[in-house]
Amino acid sequence: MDSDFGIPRELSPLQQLRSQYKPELPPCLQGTTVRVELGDGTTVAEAADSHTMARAFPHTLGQPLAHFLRETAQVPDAHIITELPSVRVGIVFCGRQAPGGHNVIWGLFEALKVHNAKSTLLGFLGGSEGLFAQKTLEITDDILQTYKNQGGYDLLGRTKDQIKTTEQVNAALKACTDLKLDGLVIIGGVISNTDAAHLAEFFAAAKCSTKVVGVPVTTNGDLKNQFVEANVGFDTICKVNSQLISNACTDALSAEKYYYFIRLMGRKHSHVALECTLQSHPNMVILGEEVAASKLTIFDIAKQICDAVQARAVEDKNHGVILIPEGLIVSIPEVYALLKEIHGLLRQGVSADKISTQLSPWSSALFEFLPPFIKKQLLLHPESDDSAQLSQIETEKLLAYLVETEMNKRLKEGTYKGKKFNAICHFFGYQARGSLPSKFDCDYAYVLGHICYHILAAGLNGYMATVTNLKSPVNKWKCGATPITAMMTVKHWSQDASYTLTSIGRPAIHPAMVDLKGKAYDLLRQNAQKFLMEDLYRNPGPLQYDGPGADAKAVSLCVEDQDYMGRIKKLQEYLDQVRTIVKPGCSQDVLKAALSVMASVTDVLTTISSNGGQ
Amino acid sequence: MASQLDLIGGDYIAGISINPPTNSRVTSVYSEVQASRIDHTLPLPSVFKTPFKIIDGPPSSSAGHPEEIEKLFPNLFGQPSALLVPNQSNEVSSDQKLKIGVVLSGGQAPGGHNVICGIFDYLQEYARGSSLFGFRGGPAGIMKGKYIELTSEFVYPYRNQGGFDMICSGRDKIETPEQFKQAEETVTKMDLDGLVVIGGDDSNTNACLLAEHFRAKNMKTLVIGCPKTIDGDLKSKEVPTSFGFDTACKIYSEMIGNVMIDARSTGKYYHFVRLMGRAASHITLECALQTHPNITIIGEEVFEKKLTLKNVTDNIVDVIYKRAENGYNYGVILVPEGLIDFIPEVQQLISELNEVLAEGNVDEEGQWKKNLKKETLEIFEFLPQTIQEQLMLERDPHGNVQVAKIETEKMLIQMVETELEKKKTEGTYEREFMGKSHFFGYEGRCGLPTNFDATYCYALGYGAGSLLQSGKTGLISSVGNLAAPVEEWTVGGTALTSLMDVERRHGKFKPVIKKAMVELEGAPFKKFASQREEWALKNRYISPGPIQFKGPGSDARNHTLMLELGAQA
Repeated sequence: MDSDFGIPRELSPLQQLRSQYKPELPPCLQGTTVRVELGDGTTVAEAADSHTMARAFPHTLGQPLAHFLRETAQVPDAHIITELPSVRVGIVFCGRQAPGGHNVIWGLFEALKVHNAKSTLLGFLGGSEGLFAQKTLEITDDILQTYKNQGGYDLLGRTKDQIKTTEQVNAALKACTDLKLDGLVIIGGVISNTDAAHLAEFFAAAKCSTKVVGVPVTTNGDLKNQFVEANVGFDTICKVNSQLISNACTDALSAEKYYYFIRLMGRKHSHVALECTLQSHPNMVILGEEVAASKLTIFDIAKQICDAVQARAVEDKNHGVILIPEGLIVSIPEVYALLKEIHGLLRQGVSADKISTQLSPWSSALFEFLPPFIKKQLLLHPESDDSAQLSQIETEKLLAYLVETEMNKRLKEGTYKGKKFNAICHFFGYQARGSLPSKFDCDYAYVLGHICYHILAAGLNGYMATVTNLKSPVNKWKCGATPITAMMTVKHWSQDASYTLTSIGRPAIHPAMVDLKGKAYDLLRQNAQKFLMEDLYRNPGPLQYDGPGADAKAVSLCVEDQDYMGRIKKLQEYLDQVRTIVKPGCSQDVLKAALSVMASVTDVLTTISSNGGQ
Repeated sequence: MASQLDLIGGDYIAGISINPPTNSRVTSVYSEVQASRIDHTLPLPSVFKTPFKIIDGPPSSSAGHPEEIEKLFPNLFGQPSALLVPNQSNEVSSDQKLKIGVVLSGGQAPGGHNVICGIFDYLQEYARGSSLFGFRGGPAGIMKGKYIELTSEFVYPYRNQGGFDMICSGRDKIETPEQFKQAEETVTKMDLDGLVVIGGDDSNTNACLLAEHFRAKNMKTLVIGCPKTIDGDLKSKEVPTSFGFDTACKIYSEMIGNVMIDARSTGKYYHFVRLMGRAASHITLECALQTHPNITIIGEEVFEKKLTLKNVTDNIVDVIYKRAENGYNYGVILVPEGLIDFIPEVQQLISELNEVLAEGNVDEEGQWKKNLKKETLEIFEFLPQTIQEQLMLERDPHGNVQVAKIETEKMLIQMVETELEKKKTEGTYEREFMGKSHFFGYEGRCGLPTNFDATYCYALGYGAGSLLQSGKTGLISSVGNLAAPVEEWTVGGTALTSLMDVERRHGKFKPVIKKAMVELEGAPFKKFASQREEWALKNRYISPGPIQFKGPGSDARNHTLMLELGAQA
């Protein structure tokens, strides 16, 4: 026994209160029938990948989008499924825990039972390893009692292993066959959902009747595309982090003598750092995407910070807060190159203490320059997915060290006249990851769980549960399902230490970068100078469940134009209307008008698509 | 802008000037929670709902060496404590307009702004036309004559908000005769009727010295203290708790609870969490009562039992070993920041190091180590490399080891790792040990105050206002009966001298307010001790979750306070 997964938990008063909370369901999931409308077949995300994709997914490529409809919806070709046989479904947590994960299970369980009380939900204990070993726990309402709306993954536990190797895939197939599963739901981020797509294809090819469904759950917020607006867990950890960051801001402002360097967990990309900046308004954030785009060196970054410290000192401000995403370190080109060399040498079996002598001259020069603690951390073995151990590399301390050295130099030279530079370093990660989920994450995860059932009832395989229009209230949410293959692309080379060698050439959902043309980033840019100089600190406060603030949503979610699925449907409606109006027999004028408008529409669309615009 | 004055050296007294008003906070960027907190109305003890008068208790003594304290405070020693009681008419209130100064001293604690708001509102209500001035940047602001007038608009954005940024704080002390002179001149020029010092044990001692000084000089300025510190080490019978402790502990407990859930979900890490709190282990004990970790080290107990570093390590190893037998390869361990100070052998080491460092003979080759005693050297060598380096770091301005800089949690991880490696080679242990270190400190000092801290601080401020108005000095604002509903809280003042003892420093008696340490016979520790074995091996984790401002539980008080008041079993 590795742990005591699934046993009743002792709950604090607030946790108890939360366990009584029941999320609302959007109208399209209410009732006892399943109403699905299948749209047009999806296309591949990148035209250039179509061959590779077609080879990798002969059975599951190009499947249509699915929309779930409210009872009153008037859609002529919707399938309304009223006969719902009992089914057996397995569910597994893959990868790092995210607040809200338990509610996916609860939502799925409720949906299963509502539609057929004889259905069974089996949870795999201990993540993918539990799946391979067929270690299951039958989910009951009793078991769920102390896990509803609770954080962590401790109902079932998790591992970070993938479902990828032939051995693993075969073990999964065997488990699903042996356990007679109609469906397998995989809860995870980009890697797990990529695995889900490949597994779905593999099952289809093997004529295994188990349908595979993915659910976007990851605190990193990097499983993002036109179909997926948000990931379960992101909202919570950004709020918890923002609370802590704001407290540090207030502390800095009160003490008037510290600079806080705060590193945030969030893997390679900077979504968490961006969102936390928009929520708490620290003085500065160094986004990995910006650094990569401008090819900044570690010294450029340090200098930027120093200049900011100096500018603030002129206004008599000797304090500040600077956010650093943990992925920053691999976004710096020369550090990335160094890490790649180190990992290459480690793979060849070179021991850590010998590595420094075998580096290329360029990397060696950089390495020798770094302070000892960072050297030690860079020499750590990479993670099981071959990416650097980002949580262990204290980039915040490295930057604080570089900035302090430079500021002391400037102080001596007389170019800097402020107080002696004083840094306090923090890493916020584990303390947020285990939080009670926010109301938003509770609702979102619960609804996604319900959707999983609807996907399975509709007989779909290789789909991800999706909700769009998330920035609106729950009763306006649009529920659907997207073939995972529509989100996948192929990388033929990689500039990126977080990708494995083996993932190159294999279709995958790639973690989304912070979009430097997006609205959230734009909002940051518009305010960056004010945040830097004016100390407009904002404190979202501790997560609230009752009263003001309880329904707050992520800023980056609310500023983006979203509801792609809704708009795709809207387009469909227009096309249908056109078809009805311009039926043979319509007047010449109508036809002429339609032709001229159509011609210009196609022209515009052709131009935009060929420019690769989105 | 606060601007230039900070940078100008030299003679501040000559030209006391009111600084151009510093900007208040910008509320337009406030979050929903912050905005709703500003307008949250605070309940007051019922004595403020009726006319009241102040009654005096019996004469007081001191916590120790009364004869020495009397010599140090000839004008204030023996003052009775004061209590507000309902009365036919208000005997305190008068038409006199008061000029009051307020200063925040030392580290931030949630609720500080509310004390100021309490004073402000008291003056508005009972002494209309009075003025309240905030000294900027702590006691230095008094010495340098840096202050701002607090107006209703200026104060507004800070209501129920964390931090000390309304007027900021500082760690300077008013100590030398020249500094007392500076303070005297500032309050005289400002024509202050009263001064409220919001601070910890040292700052309140300082407040009392100021009160004595002003009284001795027949000045009209009265001085009242307020008990502030997240560390929880400033408390007595009359002052049941210091403000900020409740909020800070709840923030840390939220984080610890989250780490517990993470530990249980992952199933492979031992989290070592070091908690702020200076020497005393109150915060650590309170967090343990809130979250039920597997191991909690209480510095006072380590000291009492004369445990060595090796003992502490072995105890942890023992629990990890037993948990492995139960199938658990994870856990959460709480470590107080001041632990190092409580281990006699380490204290010996530190004092020897101090001497060596003071002599400045530290050579690269390590010849200096010959100056250590044999046993001391052994302990030094037992420490992991990184800790050795940390111990050699510069000391703080008071010459003390920088306790916060010693990463005790990392030290313990390394020592536990070494011991478990040994067991592994012996073949008695076969798990993989992975330690994760955390330090929770700064993020708890400036959170939005809990309902308790917000209300308690507001009452402390009201109390301070009423004491000043009735001519009291050298008292610390005391709000009691805290286990009861707010309406039933008592309000009054306690003679600061009654909390004092003397310490001999450089051959002289110095007054100190005795730091309250964790009492091993006290109810909080006893409750902890009675349950910890269960917590160690079984998982009894509790995750309190984030502080709530509304709904059930939002008014809950911390365990330490309730247990000490006997209101909780």
